Parts: sequence; structure tokens; C-alpha cells
Amino acid sequence: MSNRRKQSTTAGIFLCITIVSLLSGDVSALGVNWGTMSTHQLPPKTVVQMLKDNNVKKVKLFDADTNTMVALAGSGIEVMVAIPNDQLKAMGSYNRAKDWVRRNITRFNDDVKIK
Amino acid sequence: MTAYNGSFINLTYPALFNIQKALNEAGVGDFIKATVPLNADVYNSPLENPVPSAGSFRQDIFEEMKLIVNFLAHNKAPFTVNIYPFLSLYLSSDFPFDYAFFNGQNTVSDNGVIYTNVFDANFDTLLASLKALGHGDMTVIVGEVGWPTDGDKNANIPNAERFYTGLLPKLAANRGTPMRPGYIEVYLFGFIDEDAKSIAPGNFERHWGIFKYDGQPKFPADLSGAGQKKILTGAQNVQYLRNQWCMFNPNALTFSNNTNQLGDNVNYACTFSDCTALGYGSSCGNLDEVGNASYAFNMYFQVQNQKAEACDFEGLAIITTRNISREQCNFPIQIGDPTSGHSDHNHRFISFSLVSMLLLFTAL
Repeated sequence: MSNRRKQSTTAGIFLCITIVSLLSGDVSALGVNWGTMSTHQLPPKTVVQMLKDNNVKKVKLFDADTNTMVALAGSGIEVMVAIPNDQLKAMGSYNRAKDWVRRNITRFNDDVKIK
Repeated sequence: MTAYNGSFINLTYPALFNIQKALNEAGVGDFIKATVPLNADVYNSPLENPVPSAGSFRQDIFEEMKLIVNFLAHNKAPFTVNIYPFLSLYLSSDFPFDYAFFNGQNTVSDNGVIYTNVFDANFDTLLASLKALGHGDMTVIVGEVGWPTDGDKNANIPNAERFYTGLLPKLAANRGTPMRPGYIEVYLFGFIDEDAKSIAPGNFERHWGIFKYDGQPKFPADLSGAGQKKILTGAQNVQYLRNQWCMFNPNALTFSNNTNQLGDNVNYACTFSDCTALGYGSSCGNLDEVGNASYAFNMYFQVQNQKAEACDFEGLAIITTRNISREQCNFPIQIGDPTSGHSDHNHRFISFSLVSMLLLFTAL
């Protein structure tokens, strides 16, 4: 994902709560990207434990996968979720965008610190 | 920027617009913002004045970038940029190697401001580009930054460790950049290796993790930024498949001298698994033809959860319980349920009948 070719495979729309990140007091907190393009993935709960064990307070995803979000719920870890490139076209429709926000953001709003 | 071609503006801006509008209408737009992660190649400095303060968005996408930046500014959303000093090494053949790190001797003077690393220079080139659009104070998030550990001659553990040893304390100390001292929100890329990532940009794509595929650390790193040689905490209680590998069958030479047959089978194995460690300058780049074949066969066998039929390759391959890893070159065992896949004790049939029974129960 960097330089133009990387961009073309992974760019998406990222959603973030900037107020949380700017005013939450974690002004030195480091984030990591949690990608899932693997043939064999560690269980999401295991990865969340790794984040906690290494004192990682912020995570950026490349989608808004339900299992990942459920594993992150209640962890106190800030989450940046993404709309993958292959769904960008659909978001050209406002109704589809509204639906995506409802299914992936407002639904988790109380349990996951979406950023 | 050819990859963006028409789709960049045609798809990104409407999506950004609609998502932010949906967030606003849902009443969360004040604290949840939509942003677009862009690569550092959307802006640059002119060749005749290659300093950060002369930065601007690229002329060929200037109007599109202006549209996006103005929209982000209007919604008080941050700009998100991916900065890859590793890739800077390939932008020009004379890029000074040390400038990709944080402890090198190369410097660039920008009207008296001294830049000692390309990360700072790159970040400030973006700030100058934003300033030229009237948004020099926009919040900037570094969405991705990191260094890969395999799949390229410059992608190795010593270089990655050198990079992070410079980056992490710099971030923790909130030193910022010459143009913007202070905290920068940064997301490392990445946390765990991904063996199914597209390798169109290069074989290194599958090796960006600070952790290996199985959640074990690759090198000492101190995420707190205190600069200590700490070992990261790896994944706990990881389940692996059985202790077995797939290798080139040493007896196969006696019945097949057809090298195309071997090559075809290796290609097949690599097409459906990850052979990126085999390339020039990579961790397994020094294997001979037989070693290459064993590596490829094993990677396929592991991806296929060690199914017996995944270690055949027309009789060219055989399962072994001897660890055939070499120094520097690890032949991995995949993670997963150890009762799946091939077993000498026919456990497969037992688990098969168990599965059938479970299915029956479900049906009832």
C-alpha cells in the first residue's frame, strides 16, 4: 500500500473520530494497521490480546469485519474502519452510504471506540 | 499516478461526500470523520527546488486533490497520508540509503532548516502542499509507515530494526517535524504479516508485519518509544498444524529427469501459496533447485492445511517429520487445528466420522 500501486489495492474511505484522538489524552499513543489478507488468520480475540499486551491503543482496519469489531468491543482500543476499494463505487449512491454507516458505524457506536 | 487514472476522482470523492453526509445525518458527524488515505506520491516538490517548503499537490491531479482537501477542511476531517521511506529507495537510483532511516548522515537544507530523514521531509512536503491550498493547519494522520523484513534485498530484519529503532522513540517523544513539532498520529504498517496480499508492487508486500504470520515477534522493538531493546509480546497459545513438512522427494530423480515437470509443479505450488522468500536477496534466495522445490512444495502443503494430497506433485514430493529449515531460511508450519490434515495414524478417518456425526445431529 504505498506508492501508487499499493494505493490502488488498499485505498478506501477511512472513518475516524478525530475529537477522540485529539482530546482523549492519548497524545503519544501509537496505532497499528491490522490487515487480514492472510490464508491463515489468528483468531481476532488473540490479536486483540496482542494489541493489549503490547500497549497498542489504536488500530486501523481495512474493512469493518464483524468478527473483528466484536473482538475489539469493550477493549478500549480506538478503531479506524475502512470501506474497501471494491465498495467505493457503491458508495456513490447516498442510500448505500447511509446503509453502510448504519450497519458498520452507528450499530457499534456504544461498544467500540470507532475512530 | 497512472493507477488512479479516472477512477480516483470518479469513485473516491462521491463516496467520501456520501459517507460524511450519512455520518452527519446520523448525528455522529461531529466526532466521526471520513478521510481518504493517500500515498505520498500525490504531492512533490519541483525538481529545480526539491525542498519540503516548495511542495505542492501534483499538477496532473491538482484539481481533484483540491476538491478533496477542501471537503476535508470543511468537515474538520484529517488528511491521511501513507509514508514509505522503504519505497523512497526506489524512486531514484541515487536516493541516499541512510536518508531512509533516522540515524544517517545525509541531510537536506531547506532555507536553513535541516532535514535528516525522508520521513520528516515527506511529511513537511505535504504540509507545504496543504498550505498552498490555504489549509496549512489541517490535521494530518500518518495512516501507514513501516519497513518490510523479506522479499527484497533491502527488506530484511536488520534494516527494519534500524528503521523502527529510529522511528519509535522519535514518535514517543512527540518531536514531530521541523514544520510541525509535537504529536503526530501514526499507524504502523503493519501488525502481522499477510501471506495473501497482492505482490504486484513487490514480493516485500507480504512481509510488512512487526509480527510473523503466527503472531510471533520478528525483532526487538519498544512500542513505548523508550528505546529499550524489548521483545514484543507475541500471540499466546497459538495452535499449529502438525510438525511435518513437504519436501522434494530425493528418489524422484531416479524416475524423472524432466526439469519442466519440476518447474511446472513448483510454479503451481507458488501460484497458490507464498514463495516471496525465494527471490533474490530474500531469506531463502540462496537455495539450489532442489531446495527451491522443497520450499515451494512445503508452502503449498501448509496453505492446504497439510492435506496428504497436497504433498504429491506427481510423485515429486514427500512428507517428512524432519524440520528441513535452513539457517536464515525458515520452512514454516502453518497455524491451525493440528488434527486436520495428513496423519500417519489415520486420525483423519476418525475425525471424518466425527464430522459426519455432527452433521447428522445438526440435521436432526
